[in-house]
Amino acid sequence: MNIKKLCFSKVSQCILYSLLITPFAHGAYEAKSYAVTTWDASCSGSTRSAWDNMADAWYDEITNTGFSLFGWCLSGHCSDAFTRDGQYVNGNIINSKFADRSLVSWGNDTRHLDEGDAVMLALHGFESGNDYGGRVRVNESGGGNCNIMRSEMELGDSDLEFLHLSSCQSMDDNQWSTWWSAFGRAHQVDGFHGLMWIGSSLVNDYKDFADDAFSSTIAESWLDNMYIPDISGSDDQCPVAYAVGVNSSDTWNRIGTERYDKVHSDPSSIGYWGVIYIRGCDPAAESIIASDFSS
Amino acid sequence: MFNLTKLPNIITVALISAMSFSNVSLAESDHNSMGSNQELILVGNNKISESDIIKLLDKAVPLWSNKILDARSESNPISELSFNFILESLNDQMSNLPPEEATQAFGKVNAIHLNKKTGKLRYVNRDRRWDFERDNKQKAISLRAANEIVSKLLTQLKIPDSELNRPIVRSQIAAGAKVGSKQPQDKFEMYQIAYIPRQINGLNILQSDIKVAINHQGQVQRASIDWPEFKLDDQLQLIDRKSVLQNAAQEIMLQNPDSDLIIKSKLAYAKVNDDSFHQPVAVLSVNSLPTPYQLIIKLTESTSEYESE
Repeated sequence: MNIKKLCFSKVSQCILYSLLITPFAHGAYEAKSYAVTTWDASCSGSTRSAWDNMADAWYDEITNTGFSLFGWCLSGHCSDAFTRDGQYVNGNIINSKFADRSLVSWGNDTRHLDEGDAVMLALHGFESGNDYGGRVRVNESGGGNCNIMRSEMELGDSDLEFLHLSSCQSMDDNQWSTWWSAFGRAHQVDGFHGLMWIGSSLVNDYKDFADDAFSSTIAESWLDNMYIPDISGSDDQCPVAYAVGVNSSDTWNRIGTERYDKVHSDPSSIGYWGVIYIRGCDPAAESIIASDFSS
Repeated sequence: MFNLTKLPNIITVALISAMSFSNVSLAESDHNSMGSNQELILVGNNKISESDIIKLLDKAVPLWSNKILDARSESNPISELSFNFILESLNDQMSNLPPEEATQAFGKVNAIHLNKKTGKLRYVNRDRRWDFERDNKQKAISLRAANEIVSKLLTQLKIPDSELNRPIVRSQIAAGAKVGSKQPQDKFEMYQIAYIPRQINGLNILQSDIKVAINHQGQVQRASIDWPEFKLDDQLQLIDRKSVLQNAAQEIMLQNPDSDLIIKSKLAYAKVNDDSFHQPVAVLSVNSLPTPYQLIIKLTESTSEYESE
């Protein structure tokens, strides 16, 4: 028996089999994730041990190529999966990575937040006036401080399409009328009205959000997986999906059809903003959603 | 006498001082331009002792007895489903279905994810979505009609009625405005959504529930059912309350507790650490500065010699 030929034959079969069953992400879209669990560098914040697991669950799922056979995508997202562009936990998470230089001199988001197509940001959040703020981990010398504010962001002028904020008060109803001004050419920002919750029991919600957003819309997947009635006594967790468009029709078409595997072209201009939410949602630290647009 | 040889050094020090001052001023100026956010305290004051937390926990965590181990489920309905049966139940169809071993099926306008092992079912039909041009003047169907549609679907899928907790029906809303407006100018009802938690033995099962969205035409637009097989490990024995509260307090101490923290708690069943078995747990909702969190505290330990799967 020709041993060399046999080995070659087996290798060929192996390669062919691998090509048949192992899909590759097409590489057009990139996912990134930033999460802080311990604020033990120069910025203060309470430890939240499970936060990185939540962000990681989203990241691992959106980039899950899974398994395909003869053209059937039997599990995972096959060629629609996003590529892994960076999964950051603790370390040097500084505010310049999320701020735009056109707005603040120290901004440097082009190679960071704005480099991904879909990004998860998991930080303590707060509201100052009608401006969302997130607490980063390291106080960068020479620029900014420990906070990244919505008013320091210009999203998508480089690349970003979808920003998901695992952060309290990131989409309070009194911020809706101004969030559009942070959109460069971004398509959608998802966040929370009032307080959102952290926990090991919520990790699967982030995995399912990523998974479902390949067949349902990103906006509805955010609502379906993040809305939790009575998460603490009578307090709910209240997700909000926010998009912009040229006009109302364009905005509703975008938020109503965009999926991770169906990404529209960038909005040509911004003339309208729209949100979707669950009526009556009543979180901690805020009034019932859409009941008070002043604070 | 003035030492001329030291003059260059003095000038250098003065220049460095001036530059440093300038940098500090710039930093402060930047900081001030962003308001006083840096002063916002986002860390708990850690001025609460473990024993005080145990007292709060003792008030918050409901009592339990051996009855909590007496929980059974007779069926595993998701494991019995097929793509065809699901489509039939939803009055839908799809050509070119994959083999039944597959966990997902995609049509041109619809998709099903069915994982019989984990008890996960997802369905969406994009032709049944809210369409702004077509539906912007329509109202959502009544709560009663939504409840009836969901109830019929769950009966068809053989989801046991005894494990359904009381449904909550909420409307999904779209609201928007032209840029410059201070608040939404337009508001639309998109769907009625039924949320149904799962319960066994009077307690909720974490990560097991049903969500169904109904469109204006009374069709199921999307459905999400998480219904894993419910199994308690036969070898479980209860941990005494004192130890449970102590374990919980130790977990809370790791999260920089604030003296103002509020704890709410309920008992439930959960899978812990991806175990294939459920077990009784105390779910703690800890509202503590600045981001609240949930902790799952086990009420039992396994007496079996081997770790469960």
